[in-house]
Amino acid sequence: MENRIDADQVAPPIVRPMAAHDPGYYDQLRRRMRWRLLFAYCAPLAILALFFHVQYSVTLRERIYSHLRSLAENQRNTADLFVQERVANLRNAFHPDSLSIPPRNGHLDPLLAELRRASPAFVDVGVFDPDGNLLAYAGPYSYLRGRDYSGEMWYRQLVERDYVVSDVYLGFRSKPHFIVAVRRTVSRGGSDSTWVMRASVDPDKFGEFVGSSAILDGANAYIVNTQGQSQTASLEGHPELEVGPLPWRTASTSVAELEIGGQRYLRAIAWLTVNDWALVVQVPASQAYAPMRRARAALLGMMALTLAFIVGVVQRSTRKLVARLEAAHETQRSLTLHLFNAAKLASVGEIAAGVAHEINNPLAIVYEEAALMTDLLDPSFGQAMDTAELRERLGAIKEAALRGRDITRKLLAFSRQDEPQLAPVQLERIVERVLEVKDVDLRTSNVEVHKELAPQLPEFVASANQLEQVLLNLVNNARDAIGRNGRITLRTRVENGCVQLDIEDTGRGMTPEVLSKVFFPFFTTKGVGKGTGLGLSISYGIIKSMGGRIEVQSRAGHGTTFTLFFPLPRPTPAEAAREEAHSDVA
Amino acid sequence: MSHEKIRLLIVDDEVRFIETLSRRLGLRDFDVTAVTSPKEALRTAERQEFDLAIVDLKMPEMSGERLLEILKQRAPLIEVVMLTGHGSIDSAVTCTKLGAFCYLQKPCETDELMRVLREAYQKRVETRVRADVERMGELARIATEQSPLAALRRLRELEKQGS
Repeated sequence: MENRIDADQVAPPIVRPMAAHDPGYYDQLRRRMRWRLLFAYCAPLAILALFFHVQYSVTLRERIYSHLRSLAENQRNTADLFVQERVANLRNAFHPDSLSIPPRNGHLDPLLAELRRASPAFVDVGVFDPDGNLLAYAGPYSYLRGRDYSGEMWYRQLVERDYVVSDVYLGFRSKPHFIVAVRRTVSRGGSDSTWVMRASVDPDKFGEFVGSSAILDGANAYIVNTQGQSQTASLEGHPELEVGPLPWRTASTSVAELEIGGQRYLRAIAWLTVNDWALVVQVPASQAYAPMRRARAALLGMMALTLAFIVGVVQRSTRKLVARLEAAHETQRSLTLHLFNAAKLASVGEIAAGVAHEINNPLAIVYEEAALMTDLLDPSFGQAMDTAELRERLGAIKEAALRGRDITRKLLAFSRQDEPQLAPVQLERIVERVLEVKDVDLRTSNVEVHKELAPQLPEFVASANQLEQVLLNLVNNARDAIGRNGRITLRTRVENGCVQLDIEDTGRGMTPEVLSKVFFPFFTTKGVGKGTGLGLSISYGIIKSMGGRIEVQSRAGHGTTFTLFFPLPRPTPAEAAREEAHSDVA
Repeated sequence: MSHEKIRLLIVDDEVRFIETLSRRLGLRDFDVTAVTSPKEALRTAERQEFDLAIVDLKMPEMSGERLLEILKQRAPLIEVVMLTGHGSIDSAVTCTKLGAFCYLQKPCETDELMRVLREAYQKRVETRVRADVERMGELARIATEQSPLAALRRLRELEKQGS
């Protein structure tokens, strides 16, 4: 039964020869490791920081908005209250208990004084007869007395309402003011007539009142009508405070962020209840967001500190780790090298017996020739030697000495302990060299060597030294499997992009159990002290490190064939084309 | 018999070596036959009788051990000295079991080789004498104890064994 395995199938541990890494390798490793570690540490940190920053910003923005909203509503309430109080003041003043109709001149002066006690914003006060003429007046603009106001908007509005609060306007006095007016129905002689009392209010005073409860750094609070005209202070010189026509009143207070003249502002608008006025609180965004900016700066500072710390730690640990790795590599490399050299010496030791035989044979010739010459010089033997014979015998001695030298030279060339050097190798030359070393051993064991070497085998890159070691191992094994009388066939070919080498023997073969273990280190079927069990394991490692493969097929009692596969480099398209052209010509 | 030359067979594949060695031993009164292969050795041994043999261990065609075994089977009285370039304990033990007289390593000093050969020859002579004595005793026993016809039959058997 023929058994065939690929060494990779049984997956033995690989004892691989290691090449020294070039110095750039560790630098590159260090760099790569540093970046990866930094990324691993910093990415979650950055994501976390970003998350908290966004979360914090959103919360803070909401808080700022709601602060601004409540601020605007407070101010709005204050303004509402102010206007309502003024209306109430006026109602009290116009009450029948306070004033009789029609009023007489001078009656209004104490009333105005009383109103101004209630609020210094009152400028003047007047009473209109049912026809809309200013009948009585107290205040600085006495020339208004007797004027007809029946066409004025506010006067007409009073028909439907109890009281009116007007927008700010210049009026007959040509000075900005707004008025508060109430009406009173007087029944006299069975007919009702409507009397009106009006007071004008100084918008500046009103504005002071609205803006007085100092609200927010850099914030402006003022009141506008639906056209966006300020009802409290002049907006001249402050284009950023221009509100523009407002949409119709909304129930809730709106807060918006807007850009005016390249700067950002936050603006809250709250509608008053007493009138179609809106209270505006506007604050530059930079002012409003100052706490957010401070928090961001603190966060960035913390991040920078943490980052610096991480960079330091990563730098230090990477350097330490790579240094340790480098040392470990170096140790492993030197151990592997030692193991390889030891295994090589062991395989050389296996051929040492043959070599001793080979050296002692020429030595025996030297001895015998010299002894014969001594005999011939001995008169008791009664023999003589002419110069021709002497020359011939000395020649034999010299030849034997050279034979000995060649043998030691071959052996030494084989046991060189150097680093694997990669170069293009010719497989047939390696085969020849190994066979030279094994020649006498094979011949005296009556092992015939059959060579079926393909002509013009392509070269491939490998370590010639290591390849010799592999081949010597396999030939040693083949010879041991044969014992005496047999044949070793060495066959090369190119197939499937691989140079292939068969080492076939007619030895005793292997059982499937043995076959499955041959590539494992320290497995041997040779007697104690005869084999280390490393040969095939190391051969496997060497062939693997060359990118090759080992296959073995065996039949117990019939022989074994090891096949080595060395992949050839794929030709570049240009080379392939050239080769094709060449073969066409051929 | 003691005045005859000692008949010695040398088997080794090193032509130069056996040429020189056989000449030197010839000077020392040996009747030397040198051959370069085990098969030739067997053929020669079939044709003529040898007292001693010097046999190399590692040879093409056949190992020294195998040659020793065959030589001893064919002529148990021959004394064989193994002479090898590289000896091992294993092969020394094997050879001793197979009846080798001695196991020597190349190159071997002349005095040592001569001593061994002398001792080997001594042993062969003693063995021979002992065998002769035994044979004489047997003859005497046959002559005295058996009928003439039976005695003749026994004698023929002995003759066969002795040859």
